[in-house]
Amino acid sequence: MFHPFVTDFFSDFITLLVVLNPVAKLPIFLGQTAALDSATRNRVAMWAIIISFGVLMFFLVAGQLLLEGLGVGLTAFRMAGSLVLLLFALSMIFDSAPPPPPGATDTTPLERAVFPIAMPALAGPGTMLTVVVLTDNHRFDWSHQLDTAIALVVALAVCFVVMRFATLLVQVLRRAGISILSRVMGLILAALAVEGMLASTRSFIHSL
Amino acid sequence: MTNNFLTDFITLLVVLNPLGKLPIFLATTVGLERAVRNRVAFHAVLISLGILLFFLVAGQVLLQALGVGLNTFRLAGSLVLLLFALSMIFDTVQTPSPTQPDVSPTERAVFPLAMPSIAGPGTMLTVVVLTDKDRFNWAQQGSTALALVLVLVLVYLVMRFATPLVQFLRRAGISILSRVMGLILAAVAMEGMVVSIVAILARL
Repeated sequence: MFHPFVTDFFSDFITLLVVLNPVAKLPIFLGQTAALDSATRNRVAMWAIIISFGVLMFFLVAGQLLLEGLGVGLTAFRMAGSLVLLLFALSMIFDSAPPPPPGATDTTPLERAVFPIAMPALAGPGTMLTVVVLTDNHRFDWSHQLDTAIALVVALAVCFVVMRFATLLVQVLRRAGISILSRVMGLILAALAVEGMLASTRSFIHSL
Repeated sequence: MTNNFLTDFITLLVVLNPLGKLPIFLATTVGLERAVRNRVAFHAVLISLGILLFFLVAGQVLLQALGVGLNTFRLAGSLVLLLFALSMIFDTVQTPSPTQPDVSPTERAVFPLAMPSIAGPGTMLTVVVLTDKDRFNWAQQGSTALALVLVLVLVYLVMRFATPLVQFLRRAGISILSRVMGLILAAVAMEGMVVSIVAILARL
């Protein structure tokens, strides 16, 4: 029904967007930037996205080499990664929204952009793992990996837009709306994670 | 058309199982005032309708675009249901404590009522299958939507008139009812997992 490039792009894009889950990070972002004026807040959002992008691109390019240097097979890694994603998805479905952490007052906007917004909220272990699994060098050629990189850029752009309009969004969605979005996304992510587990189990059995 | 409508209505009624939502509703709203309880019921049904209509319209395209098969979706959904059922069996019935005023009625309506019980994975899947865009034209899909609205009205009515039951069952009765229902739900979830695993293995 769709061209593989489009299907892969959407699959990667949605996976990344769901793992990044910008709407659920809004309370963290707002909690950290509550005392700032809107210009500084936008700068924090910008920096958080740039830093996340750098970290994730590093994992996209070098993550697998790093893992293989450690002697972890990619099929096993994908299985473990999908399992982590599944548990992450389940926590999105079952947990109540995390309370915003107390904002520290003695940090600069840039420091706040790094922690906790870029790391671990956006470029957390879940996202790093996802990026590595989505660009498995043995399964995907460079064009597909480029596809994933584009999906990552677009997903991070969405995150930026969400943070840019954070105040407005929270007013419109309320906490209940954020909770609904997060849970529905969690269910979709769970399905994607199960798909990944099945696929890796299949290739594991075939490689025996 | 009428025939189709009836089939859809009965299918949705069986999957949504209005009476089965009662223990979950009672357990979620233990200790709340009557007016608040009614608001929770109303919001839960409204939110579920929104989620399910979204899946009715966009579910199939979404799953196809993601490359997620229906069986995979069912497997993941059944897993979610199983975990939810286990929490119904093992967790103590939550009492809304006065120290937690931040859990608004709407949030209670979202979790665990709208997601994952009323607009649960099973219902989403059913809605997607009943409105398969390759098999049904828009009129048929419209009649499915109508059937969905009717069934959700029934769910609302069951929850709306649950108040006498609360007085009759008390907290202990609700706890028992919730646990028994959890066990049944766990069996339904296992059934879904087994069916989808068999279907996935057959394709291997």
